[in-house]
Amino acid sequence: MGKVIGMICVLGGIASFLYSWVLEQKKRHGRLEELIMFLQKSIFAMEEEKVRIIEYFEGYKSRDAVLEDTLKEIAKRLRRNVYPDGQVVWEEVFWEKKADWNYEEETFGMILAAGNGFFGRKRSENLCFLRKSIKQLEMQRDKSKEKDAQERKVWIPVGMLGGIMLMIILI
Amino acid sequence: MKEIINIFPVAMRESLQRISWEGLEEIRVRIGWPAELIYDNRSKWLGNYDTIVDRHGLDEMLNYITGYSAYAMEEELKQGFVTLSGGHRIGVTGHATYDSNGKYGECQVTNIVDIGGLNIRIAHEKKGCAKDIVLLLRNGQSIYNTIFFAAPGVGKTTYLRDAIRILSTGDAVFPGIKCCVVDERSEIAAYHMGKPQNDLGIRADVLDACPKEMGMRMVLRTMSPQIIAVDELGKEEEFHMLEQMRCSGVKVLGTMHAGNLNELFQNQLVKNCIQNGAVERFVELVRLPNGARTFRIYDGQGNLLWEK
Repeated sequence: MGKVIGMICVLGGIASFLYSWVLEQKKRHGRLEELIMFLQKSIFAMEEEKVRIIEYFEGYKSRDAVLEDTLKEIAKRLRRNVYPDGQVVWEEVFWEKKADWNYEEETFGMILAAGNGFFGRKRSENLCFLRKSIKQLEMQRDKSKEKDAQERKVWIPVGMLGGIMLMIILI
Repeated sequence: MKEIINIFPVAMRESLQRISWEGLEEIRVRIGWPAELIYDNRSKWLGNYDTIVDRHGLDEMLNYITGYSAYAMEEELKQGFVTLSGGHRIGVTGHATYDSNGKYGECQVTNIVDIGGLNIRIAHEKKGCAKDIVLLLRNGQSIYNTIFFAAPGVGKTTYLRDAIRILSTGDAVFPGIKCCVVDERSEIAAYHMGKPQNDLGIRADVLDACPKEMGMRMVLRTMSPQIIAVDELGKEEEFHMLEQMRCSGVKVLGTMHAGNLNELFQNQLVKNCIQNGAVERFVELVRLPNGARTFRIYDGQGNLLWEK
């Protein structure tokens, strides 16, 4: 009886570890999707509505709490009127929240550069940057999804096999 | 004055905290020079040479002024001014780019780049300054068609604004009148993000950033105004609308640039208005050497009726 319970615990533990790993991957992809959607909506907001950055960032609603919090923090710092350059604020806040964003260097670099799409003098310049950032992030998202899918194909079976071997050893 | 101090570079704010704001009318910022403070009857430089504004400083100011959204204020910058919260106006100078594809082949400014100077006009709502004038402009329950005129910087818009407020609010003797304000340059109501920064009274409706001639036509059709107020009349089509207003039963309150009555009457458009009776009163505003203001009221033919 004890062995059965032990087996279930080991298998359950490995399965839940693998599940949370896959969930974390999905969350990261979801966050990147939300960021891409934010940049796309920003293009519309700039072109059609001439929104102001501070109010736009403050009022933006997203399904991802990390993105919302990041934008609110950027708006809060901009409101203080002590930063000569808005891009500095964008980078500062994203660096502080790097752990929450949890992307590899290349993707994180693109996210930092996306800020240039908001703080240029001319609308056309901003829109150009935003479109470029969206394209780069979409490519990065697709690459990352493929890479993660490959990893899952390897590590899920390995994890389960490892769990079974551990069970056999314990029995 | 926090909203003004906060648009300056961080390094200059301490100096600005120490200045006297009493009677301050303008702060002029030019690249390579200290900021100039202009009061009623004098001017002085701000601080020492640590308060010289350079290119970076001006870019920093533009970020604060536009809320880091210079792209969203392209239209305002094209017009050469931006309105701040609190009703303060910032005039912008620099290198103008233009094209000549406007109506009738005229040039239209497409942008002002390489901004090199700012003129921050401090908004001073002087409630009650037009009280005596409005009393003398009354004509039954309404007023005479009136133009305020003076040299730049004397306070035409301030008096116009207060007149609108008094007329639209009313008092124990005279009920409030429906006033429609066509505020082409956002100077009268000083709209900032959809909200008027100046008090125009409870019966004032504002059409912001609309060309005067078009705006007067629109409000006449849709807002059933008793008075239409406009600032800085100058174009032929605007005076043409004044003549139309005369036939529609709506009274007009306007302003014009002119140093004195003779200068005003040399303007052909004004002469036409005098001939056809479109303007019934002219109010001349005068700045005295001590900075105080006084006024003279003339009838439609230029005869002096009242002098303070």
